[in-house]
Amino acid sequence: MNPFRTKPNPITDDGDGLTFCSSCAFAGVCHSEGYDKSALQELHCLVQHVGPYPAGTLLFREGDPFNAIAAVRSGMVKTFRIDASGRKQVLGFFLLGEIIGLDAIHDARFPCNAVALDTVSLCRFSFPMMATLATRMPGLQTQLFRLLSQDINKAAAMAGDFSADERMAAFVLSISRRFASRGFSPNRFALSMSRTDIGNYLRLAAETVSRVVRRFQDEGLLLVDRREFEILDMARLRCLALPLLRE
Amino acid sequence: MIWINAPRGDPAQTDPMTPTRQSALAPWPPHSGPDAVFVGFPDPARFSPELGESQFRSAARHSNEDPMPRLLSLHLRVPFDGNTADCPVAPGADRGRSHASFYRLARECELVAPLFDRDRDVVQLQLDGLAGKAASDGLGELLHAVSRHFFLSHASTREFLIVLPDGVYGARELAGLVDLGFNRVRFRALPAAADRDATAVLERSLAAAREAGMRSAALDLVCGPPGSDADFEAGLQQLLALRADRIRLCCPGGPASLATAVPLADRAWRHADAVSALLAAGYEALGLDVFVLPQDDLARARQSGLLHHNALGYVPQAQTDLVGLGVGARSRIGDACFENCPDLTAWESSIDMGELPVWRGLQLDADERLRCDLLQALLCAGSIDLVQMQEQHGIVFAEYFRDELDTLKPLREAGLLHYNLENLQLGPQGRLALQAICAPFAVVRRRP
Repeated sequence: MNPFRTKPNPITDDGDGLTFCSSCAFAGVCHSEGYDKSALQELHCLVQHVGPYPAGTLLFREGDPFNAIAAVRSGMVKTFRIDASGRKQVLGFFLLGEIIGLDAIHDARFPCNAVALDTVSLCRFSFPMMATLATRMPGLQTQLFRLLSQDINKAAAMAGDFSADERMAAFVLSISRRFASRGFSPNRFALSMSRTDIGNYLRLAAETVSRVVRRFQDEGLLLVDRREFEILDMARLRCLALPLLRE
Repeated sequence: MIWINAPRGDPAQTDPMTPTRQSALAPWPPHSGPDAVFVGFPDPARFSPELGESQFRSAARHSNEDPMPRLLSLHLRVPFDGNTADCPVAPGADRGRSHASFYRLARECELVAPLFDRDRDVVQLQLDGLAGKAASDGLGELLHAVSRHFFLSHASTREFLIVLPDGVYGARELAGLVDLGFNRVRFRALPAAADRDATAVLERSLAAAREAGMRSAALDLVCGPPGSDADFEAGLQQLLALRADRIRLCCPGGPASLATAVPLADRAWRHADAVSALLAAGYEALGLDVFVLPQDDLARARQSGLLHHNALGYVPQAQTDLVGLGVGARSRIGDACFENCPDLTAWESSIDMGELPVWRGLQLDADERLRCDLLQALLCAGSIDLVQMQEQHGIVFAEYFRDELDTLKPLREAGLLHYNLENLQLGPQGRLALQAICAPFAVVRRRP
């Protein structure tokens, strides 16, 4: 059963021998640095397209050995952890073009579980080979550092004493910015995650998520129909989200 | 509602452009006659028994997980012997079993309600199927069960409608229904002047409903009872003088005797007379033969763009998920539609075994979702933003609906609808012809 009443989620064009998929996190590396074709070929050898996986597929489990990072080519992925007392904690959502698995580098094991929220295709990069290549390609290394730094910042953003409105606004705005940075509409998008997951991620009750979203809609910030979001007043949303998300 | 399908081979009978008789009232609004067939979308005939209880449960679960889950509409079908077009008698129903069916409906509530999250208030409730004076304590117990299992809205704009036979309930009983939470009532009437008593009874019922504090009182008017035209028009004027808040015109489809007693052409004329008289009396046409006074919640909702249409008719609220309880009741949860067992015995045994009495269902595909959106926009807003629709569904409107637009050509030429590349809009009289305009879009064609 396809649960989404929306146009199919954006999927990127496939890359070929010389160009990466347009949404790829590494796409910019080579263009700006002017690498020759052999270097590009080498980088491309690391790439392996996998999927599609249907919604609900467990992509990896906590404790699985880590040997590759993966970029999302289509769909959305959720990472979560189950704590000792059995409570589930949602760690993050990965949209198109974003890299999963950066938090597994330090002890070569995945510290969390990842599950497909809708039909997901991935692009796997063998991490040891990428690390070797990075020593020869400074552009690739810079990009890796940038991605790691982003990952750390993302995790830190939600920790803090913020109101439900601020958290929700920041969440919507961050999704919007992430879609925009891959060349999709920042104002209209569909979210695949459930309100329980959103609530868990934002440390809010699921019913609070709905109440805040409904209020945002009543105040003319958003228009929400089931899982489709339309941002009507970006400026006010930005204002609300300011404590969590800087410009 | 069952609509009389006019014989296509005989245009003289149904073509409103070639009048065969001079109407005493205003000119006939074209294409508004009872010949167009639109029974709602999707057609239950396409439901499949492959979708049942487990799909119902997963549709409910999935709908709970929307960021802002839709509120609920509840349809309670009491399997009585109320033989109306809306609510045909359930096979096997008799009065001896009627009291037990209140308990079974309460049990069905208990089974279904936990599937829906508790912040999903019920903003629309419709109870129909009552005939005669229903055991009022049974009704009271049923409503208490509903309110214990579901969260019923208290907002004044809620649509808690009870469909009653006219003349049976007095002011005191109606006040009791208001205490139970109902704020709207609907009666069924035949415009027949010969029967002055019936009109007087109806007048008393409407007065009682207003006195009891019902926010709106509605009438179903049947066009085309036997009798002379003069009688019909006089009866109509008397009924209009009652100023019911909402009036729906019905062509007799239920009682077979009525459907055959009046020739089709006369029924069509009477329908046209009724429409003209309603408009002259200051009613606004919503579409699908529903007329409301301008101060009614439905008319206001249309002004503010809040109007929606579901299987129960027009609602002055944002779109809801519909949960149907009772024999043959239909549900619509997100993109999934379901229908309960239409047979009383099967329904009873499902409930007694603690199973949901879901009989068959349909998961809408992309084409059906598009048609739903389109019909919703046509029926309520009366206009469609084609640019947005094309973007949202990834189609080119004029190509995708080429056949439908071909069918609608005569209506377009008659000025009932206009369209260009950006939008499609109903003409000034388009709302009177919504049956005809919607019908081609409600037919699903399998495309290669």
